[in-house]
Amino acid sequence: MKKIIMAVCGSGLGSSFMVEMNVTEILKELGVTDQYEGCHTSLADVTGMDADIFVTGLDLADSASHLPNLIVLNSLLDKDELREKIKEKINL
Amino acid sequence: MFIEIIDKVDNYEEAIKMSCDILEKNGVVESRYYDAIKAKIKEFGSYFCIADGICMPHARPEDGALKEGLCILKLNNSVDFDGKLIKVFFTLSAKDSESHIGLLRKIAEVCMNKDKLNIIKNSKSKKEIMEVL
Repeated sequence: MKKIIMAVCGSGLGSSFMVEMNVTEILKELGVTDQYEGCHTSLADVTGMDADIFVTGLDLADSASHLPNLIVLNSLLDKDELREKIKEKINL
Repeated sequence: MFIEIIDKVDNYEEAIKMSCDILEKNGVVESRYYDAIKAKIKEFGSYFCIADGICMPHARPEDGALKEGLCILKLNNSVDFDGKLIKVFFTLSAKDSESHIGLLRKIAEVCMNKDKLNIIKNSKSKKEIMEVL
């Protein structure tokens, strides 16, 4: 079964969806789509069991602090930052 | 897609209200959509500020979104939103969780491209914004 990298935001359909698009592109670049996949949801719906790695923006870091393996992005749409932080989490 | 350029607003609420009014007038959202956005801001803060000078206010489909739509409101003078200076409001409406993906891709593409972002931030006409999108 693939591991899940889940983007989380306040409503689960705007910024988290955009971050998921970047996660998916980065996983392709890194050549690990056979092991990982991206998805997105809202803070209201998310639980720590839903994914292996979570991603959110700095503004929501406190609200999401209960999630394990959390990546916090200083700049939400910065692909370089996201790539480095994903690589660190998946030990590439 | 609706585009409006105005000189300035007194506060960010005014910009979001203005955008929601445009969407409502065009049958994209119900009036309660604005209240839902305000409630989200109260709960989570300014999390939908997605890039420097850019924010993307939105609520959920069940909050009175009638169809997919986007209102771009560009200010000539930026306004404070929780300590961030905002010049462009991409107020988004999504009727379900997937169908607005095309709009999101467009917004993301612009936000991740400094040149395009600068053109929009400094644009003086709706046509300029249309061309970038």
